[in-house]
Amino acid sequence: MAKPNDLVQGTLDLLILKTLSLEPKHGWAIAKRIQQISREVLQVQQGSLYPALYRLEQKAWIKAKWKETATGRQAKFYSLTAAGRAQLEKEAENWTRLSAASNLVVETT
Amino acid sequence: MLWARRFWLKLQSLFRGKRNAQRLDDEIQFHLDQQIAENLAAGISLQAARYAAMRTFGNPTYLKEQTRDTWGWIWLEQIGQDFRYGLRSLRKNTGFTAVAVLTLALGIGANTSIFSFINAMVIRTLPVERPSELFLLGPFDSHEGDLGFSYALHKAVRDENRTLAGIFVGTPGPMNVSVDGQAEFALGGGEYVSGSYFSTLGVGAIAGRTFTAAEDEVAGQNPVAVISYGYWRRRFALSPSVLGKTIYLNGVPCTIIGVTPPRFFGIDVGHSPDITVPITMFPLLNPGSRELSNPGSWWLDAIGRLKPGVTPEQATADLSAILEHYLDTQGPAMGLRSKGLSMRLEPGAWGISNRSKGVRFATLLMTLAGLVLLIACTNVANLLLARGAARQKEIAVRVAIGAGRSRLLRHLVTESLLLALLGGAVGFLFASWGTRGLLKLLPQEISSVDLSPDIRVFVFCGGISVLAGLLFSLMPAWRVTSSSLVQGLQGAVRQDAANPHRNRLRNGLVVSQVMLSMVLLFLAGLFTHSLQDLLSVDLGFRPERVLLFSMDPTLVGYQGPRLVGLYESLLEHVQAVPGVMSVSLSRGGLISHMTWGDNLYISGYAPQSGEVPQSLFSPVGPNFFRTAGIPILVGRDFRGLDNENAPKVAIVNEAFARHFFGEQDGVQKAVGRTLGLGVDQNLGPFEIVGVARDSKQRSLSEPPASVVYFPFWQADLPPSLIGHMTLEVRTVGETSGMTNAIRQELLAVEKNLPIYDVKTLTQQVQESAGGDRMFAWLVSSFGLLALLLASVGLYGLVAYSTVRRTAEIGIRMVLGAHHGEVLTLVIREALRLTALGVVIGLALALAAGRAVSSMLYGVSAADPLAILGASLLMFFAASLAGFLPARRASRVDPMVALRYE
Repeated sequence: MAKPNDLVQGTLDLLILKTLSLEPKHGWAIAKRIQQISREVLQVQQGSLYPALYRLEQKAWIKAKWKETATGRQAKFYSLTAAGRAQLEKEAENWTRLSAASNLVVETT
Repeated sequence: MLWARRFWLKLQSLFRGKRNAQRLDDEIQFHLDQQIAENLAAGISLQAARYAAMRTFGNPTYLKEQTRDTWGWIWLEQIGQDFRYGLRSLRKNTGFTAVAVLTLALGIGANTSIFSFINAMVIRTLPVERPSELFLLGPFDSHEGDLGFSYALHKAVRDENRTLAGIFVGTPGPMNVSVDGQAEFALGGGEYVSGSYFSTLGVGAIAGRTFTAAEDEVAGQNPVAVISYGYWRRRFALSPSVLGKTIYLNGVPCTIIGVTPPRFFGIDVGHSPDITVPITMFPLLNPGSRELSNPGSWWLDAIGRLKPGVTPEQATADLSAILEHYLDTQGPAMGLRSKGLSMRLEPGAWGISNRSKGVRFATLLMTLAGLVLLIACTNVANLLLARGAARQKEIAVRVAIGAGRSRLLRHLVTESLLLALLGGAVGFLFASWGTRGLLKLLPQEISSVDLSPDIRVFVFCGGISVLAGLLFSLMPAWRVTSSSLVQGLQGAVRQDAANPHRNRLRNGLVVSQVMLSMVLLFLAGLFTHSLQDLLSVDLGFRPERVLLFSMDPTLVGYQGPRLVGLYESLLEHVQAVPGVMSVSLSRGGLISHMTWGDNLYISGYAPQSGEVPQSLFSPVGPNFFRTAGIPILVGRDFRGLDNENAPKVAIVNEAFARHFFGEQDGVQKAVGRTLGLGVDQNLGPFEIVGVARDSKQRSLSEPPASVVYFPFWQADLPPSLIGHMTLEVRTVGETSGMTNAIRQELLAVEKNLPIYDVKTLTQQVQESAGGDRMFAWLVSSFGLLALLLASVGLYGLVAYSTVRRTAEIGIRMVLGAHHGEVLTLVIREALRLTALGVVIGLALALAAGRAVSSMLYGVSAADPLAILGASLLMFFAASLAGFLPARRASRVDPMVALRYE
């Protein structure tokens, strides 16, 4: 079942939080942004974003608001809450530590 | 704060399910549109752009479901779903639902009413502060058992103890009340208490104040009273002006200073005194009494509150030391041995009522009610089995489209729980009627009890509903979900009839119903028979054609010689009424609670060591023995010459004579002896001039008690003892119709004469068996309820199997079977099951009978009449339950029957 660029759940959460840390975005924009920044390496299956978004919303790390887009359509915009920002910092730190450790292991062997 | 916000979000999603789903749809649509627009901009055709967008997105339905799972509580939603399905399916089968709910409601209702009663009588603690700190205190004599406190001992303990936060003593006493010149009788009676009563209990006044330590100071100097809320409402309509009002208690003016809270009923469950007065007033309200000042009168109930952190053992040691010192200093003066007395503490959270007896009755009643519920559950289980068989197809379809067994089980159990809760709700309603009925059955020794349901009753009702629901649902649900899929889809209905295993289960259920019903019916027969025996016991007097009038002339100011004069004049006038055979009056003597017992001194009788001679005393009028129909065995009756100036005389009963003057020849030896009555022999001496036959004094089941009768006009008794007397009138013909003539005659002598209670002696005898009557009634109702439920179960089973066998019956009839043969075929099955149940049930019933034998009067625990009655009743009900479906089966048209299904 696992595809090469399937994202682990925790990683997806981190990516979403990071993406939202700059400005509020709707779901499609989040997906686009992750693709762009990762230079198309991370191919998120776009739909899988939504269960993650709802889960984060239930955890009160992000909140959502229906707003008009530039083209005049109603869209759901997600933004970070204070708790979400704290969570992002924690997860980012974890990530750095983990990836540094992984690098160390990979490079020394 | 984060958890609160999360909880709020979950709660929201629970109630906004539909709207959220719509919004998710919108959001995903927007996403797809965005993607399509981008793809179009890249120059692809619309069709291809759409397809590409869908591909990058993934399966929307699957993703939506995944998203939805993150909302709210999925398990809660599933339960909600199960409940909705359950409700729907119950609504579709109204007949089934109604029978099941009604059956359960009867069972649950019976249990809940009994529980409310038990809750009020033995479970609920006194409505006072921290009841668990309260302890009943009392000297314990290895010879005589538990003694009460004397007033002086109370003072000693109060002043010298180091382990109690508070102690009080109290005693109930009949109280005649006069308000605004109008005489009445305090229904709940009165209570005499020491000044620390309210403060020790932690009960405040809701109006005015309660007693203080000052009320303990000087005897006779505290003419104040605190009244109960019930009395305040009943008598004074909650008027605030009641404070400071003067009322007359036993003729003594007292000022009302406060009202107790509505829930407070004193310290004796089942009795709630209307009026509480300081115990220092006791001698004034009961002239001639010596108890208060006598250090050897163990007449008071005592309750103490332990200091925080003090154990009962420490308190026992502390109080025992005080008791020992008390006996050392006071003992010699009282003629008491100081050895063998020790202080005993018992939990007082439930007040002074006798709980151990209550607990025994409660356990038995609860067990019987539980059996009824068990029968009800069996009924419903059987119904569910029948219904499960009919639902095989539906269940099979559910399994086929992917419902797991656990989910199905959960669904079926939820449905049953719903049924149980509905039954519980209706049962709660039934219980409120049941408790109202119970109140009417209450024996007269329980004057008042609060049966209103509290949270405990509510929880109990809900608890047994759920328990019953699980009990009756698990087995049928397991059974229903365990049948094979293919069989179910093919319609297992017909095969099922031939499946002996399934029938065996249902038969087993019906047999156990019959069995349990037999136990209940047998016990019902046993207690009813015991009650009959009790009511037909030899009373020692002849109760028929005797009218009783209770009165109290002291309420309208009669005292001393005027009182005696009034009684004599009343007797004279009533004797002259046409149709009156003889008339007398007495205090106690003919099965009543107005008896009076006291110590006595007997010339020529040497008490054994530690024995304090005691007896009941009954002041009576002339012609008492003739009117009551009690024969004088030896010596003579009272006569006119025994007047105030003549030597005092008394008549004792057989039991008295045998006990004090010898088992063999006591009756002959009694005449001529002299007696002194009361503490310090302050009444008497009386010369015994006759011996009367034994008669029942207080209750029907009592063994013969010693009694001394003496003429009320000779003894110079305190008004509290001859104030409240009962006039007995034996009529020539029927008593009905005589009541008014006699009452008018009484009022003609004294127009303000307070007459309370008018009834026949037969009524009084019946009322005295109130407790036994209540018990027999309850057990009989349980028995009949069980019979009804078992019959319904039997009927259901026979009806169901007859429908299943319609085709078979058709074939039999085509082959030449008569209606009668079909009838027997069906009824035989019902009777076979009944016979099995009756046989097993009887074995159980006999064991149950042995267990309750101590509560029976004059009936053997294996009473053949009860066995016969219960069996006959059971077979009769079973035949009826079998006959109805059998008749229907025998009338079926063979052609229709053959084509059935």
